[in-house]
Amino acid sequence: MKKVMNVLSVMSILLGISLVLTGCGNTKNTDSKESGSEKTQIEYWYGLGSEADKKMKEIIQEFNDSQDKYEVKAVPQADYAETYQKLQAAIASKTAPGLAILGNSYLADLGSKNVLEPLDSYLKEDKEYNESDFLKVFMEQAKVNDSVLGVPAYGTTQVMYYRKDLLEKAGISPTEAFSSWENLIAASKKIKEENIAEIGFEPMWGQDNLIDISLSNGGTILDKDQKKVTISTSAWIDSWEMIRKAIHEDKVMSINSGGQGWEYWYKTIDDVTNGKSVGYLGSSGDKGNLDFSIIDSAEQPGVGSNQAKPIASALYLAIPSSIDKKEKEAAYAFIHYFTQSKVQADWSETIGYIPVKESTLDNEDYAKFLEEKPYYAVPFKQAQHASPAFIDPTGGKIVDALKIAADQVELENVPAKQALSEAQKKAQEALDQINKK
Amino acid sequence: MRKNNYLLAFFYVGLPILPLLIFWFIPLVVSVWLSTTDWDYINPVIQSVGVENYTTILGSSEFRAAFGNTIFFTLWTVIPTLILGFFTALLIHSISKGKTLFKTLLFSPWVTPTVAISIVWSWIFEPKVGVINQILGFLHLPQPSWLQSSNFAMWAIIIVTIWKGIGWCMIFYCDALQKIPSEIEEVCEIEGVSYWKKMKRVYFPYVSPTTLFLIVTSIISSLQAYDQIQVMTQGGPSGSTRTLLYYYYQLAFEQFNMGQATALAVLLIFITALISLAQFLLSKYWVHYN
Repeated sequence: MKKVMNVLSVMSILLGISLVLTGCGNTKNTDSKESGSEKTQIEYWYGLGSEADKKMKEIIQEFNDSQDKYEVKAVPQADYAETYQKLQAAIASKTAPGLAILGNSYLADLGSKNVLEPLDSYLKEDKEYNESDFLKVFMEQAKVNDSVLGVPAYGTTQVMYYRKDLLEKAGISPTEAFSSWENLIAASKKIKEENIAEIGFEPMWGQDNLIDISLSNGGTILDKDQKKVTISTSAWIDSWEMIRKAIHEDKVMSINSGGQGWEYWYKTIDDVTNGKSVGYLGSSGDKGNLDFSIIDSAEQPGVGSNQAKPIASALYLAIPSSIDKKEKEAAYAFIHYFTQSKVQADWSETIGYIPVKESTLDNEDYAKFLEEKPYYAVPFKQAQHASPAFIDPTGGKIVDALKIAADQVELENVPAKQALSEAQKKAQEALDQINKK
Repeated sequence: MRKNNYLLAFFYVGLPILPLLIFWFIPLVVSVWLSTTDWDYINPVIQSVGVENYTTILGSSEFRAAFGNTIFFTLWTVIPTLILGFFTALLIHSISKGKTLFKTLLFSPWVTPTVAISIVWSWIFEPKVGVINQILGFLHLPQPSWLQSSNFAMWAIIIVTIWKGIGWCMIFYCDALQKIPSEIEEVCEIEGVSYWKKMKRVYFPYVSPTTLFLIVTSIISSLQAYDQIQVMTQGGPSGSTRTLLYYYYQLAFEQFNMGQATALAVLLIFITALISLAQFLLSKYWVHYN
C-alpha cells in the first residue's frame, strides 16, 4: 500500500510539473492572421479609456463595415505606457499586433531600434496623402532618420480654462488676462484682492506646465547640437520664479498635488467648478468634464512679449515591422481611414483632441460644430504655433530632473534658480553619459 | 539503505531544489549577466558593457539620494517597529483575558494589502480634511501638508510602515514570551526581582533569537518598500521618498533602462546580504539560544 502511495504521489507531482511547464510555453497569437473568411485580420492596440475607447470601437466598426478585405480587432490597453511596454514584449516574442498607438517619445525610441515599419512607400502610393495638410508640429516628430514611422492620429496640448462669470465680475477682459503670464498673475491678484475667488489661476501640478511657460519665455531644453542642457538659463529661472512667487509669496495661485492617479487633476477642476479659483491650465481633452455654460477656454499666454510656445504632442499610429505584408496593408488601410478629415472631425468632436489635419476645418459638420462650440478650436489654434514635444535622449533622466525641480518650486518654495541649477547638473550628467557612447 | 530508497530520497530532496533552481537561482544568474549588458527589451543583439552600468549607478546623485532615503527609512521603521512590537507583546503577555482579540486586532494591518492601507492613510494625511490635521488643528498645532512636503512625506510613509509592522513583530514576540518557562517567572516573583531586572535577565535573553529573526526580516522588508511609496507619493515630492527599490522601478519601467535597473537590483541584493551577514556575525554576542 505504501509503495502504491509513493508511486501515486510521484506521478501526481510529475503531472503537476509537466502541466506547469507546458503552461509556460509560447502561445502563438493567431488573431492577427487571415481568417477563414479571407479577410486579413489585425489586432489594434491603444491605451484609451471610457468615452475615447467607445468612440474608437465605433470607428473601427465603421472601418470594418466599409470594406471586405480587412478586419481590425480593438485591443484596448490601460494607457499609452502599458501599450508601449506590452508592445516591446510582443515585438521581442514575435507576436506583435498589426497596429498600435504610440506617444512621440515611444515612437522615437522604437524607431531608433528599427522595429517599426517605415511608412514612406505606403504614403507615396496613397493618392489622398498630403503631408502639408498635417499640422507641422505633429509631422516633425513622425519622422526618424527621415522616414515616416507613424502617422499622427490625434493631438493634445494644454490650454487655459476659466470661469466667464467670475472674470466678468472682476471686470477683467479675457483678452487682457490671457495676453501674457504677467497679466494673468496681475488678474489673479485683483481677483484675490476683490474677493472674487480665493485664488486666481491654477497651473496643473508637475513639470509640464512649467516647461510650457519656460518655452513661452524663449527657453529651450537642449541646445541646437543636443549636447548641452539649457534648463538653467534666465528664460527658465525667470518664468519659474514668477510662478513660485505667485504661489508661495503672493498666494494668488495654488497647486493641487498627490492623491491617487488623477486625483490632483480633478481637484483642480473642482476648484474652478466650485468657484474657489477662476481658472486653470489643463488638457485639451478636459472638455468632457467641464460645463461650458459657465466656463470658456483660451490659448496659453506668452511670457512678456514672447509668443506662447507651449508643447503640443500627437499620438501616432504605427506598424511593427515584424508582421507580414498583408497585415501591414490592413494596418495602413486603417491609418488611411482614421486620418480622413471626416473621421478626424467625428473623433475630435466627441473626444476633444486636436484633429491632425488642417483640412478637418473644411469639413462642413465640423465647421458648424466649431461655430457652436468655439472653445473646441482653441487647442487647434494653439497647436499652430506650439513647440514639438520633447524627446528625452537620456530615456527620461532630464524629465525626471525637471520633475524634481518642479516639485521643489511648486510645493516647497525652493527658489527657481536653486532648483533648476540642481536639475541642470543632473540632466547634463545624464546627457554627457549618452553622448559619450 | 536499498538502491530504490536512495533514488526516492534523491527525488524528494530534488523536488524542492528544482523550483528553487528555476525560480531563484537561474533568474539571479540571468540578472547578474543582464546587469553587464545594454539590453533594451527588444534588440536581440545584446552587447556587454562590462561594469559600466555599475559605475554609472554608483556615480549618480540619484542613487546616492535613494540610498540615503533607504537607510533613513530602514532605521526609522525597523527599530521603532521592533520596540513597539515587543512592548505590545509584553502587554498582551501580562493580561489574562482577551489575548486572542488583541492579537487579532493588532495583526490585522499586517494581513491587509499594503495598497489598501496606503490609500486609507493617504486620506488620513490629507492636509485639509484628513483626520490627523483635523486633530492638530483642534490642538492649535501646525498642520503640515504631509505628503506634499519633502520634510514630512517620508515620515508619513514611516508611520504607515510602522503601524503595519507592529502586529507582525508582536505575534513573534508573543510566541517567544510564551515559551519562557513559567518556573522562571514564578521564581522572579518569589524573589521579588524588579521589573527592569526581569526584563534584562529574563525577557531580553529569551526573546533574542526572535529579535535577530525580526531584525533580519524587517530590514529585508524595509529594503523592499515599494507599494506604500507608489500609492502615497510616487517617490516625491522632490524625490524625498525615492528609495532604492522605487528607483529600480523607475529605471526599469519608466526609463526602460534594464541594464542599469538590473545593476541596481544586484547591488540591492548585495547590500541585503551584507547586512544580514553582519547581523549573523554580531549575533553571537547577544543572541542566547536555549
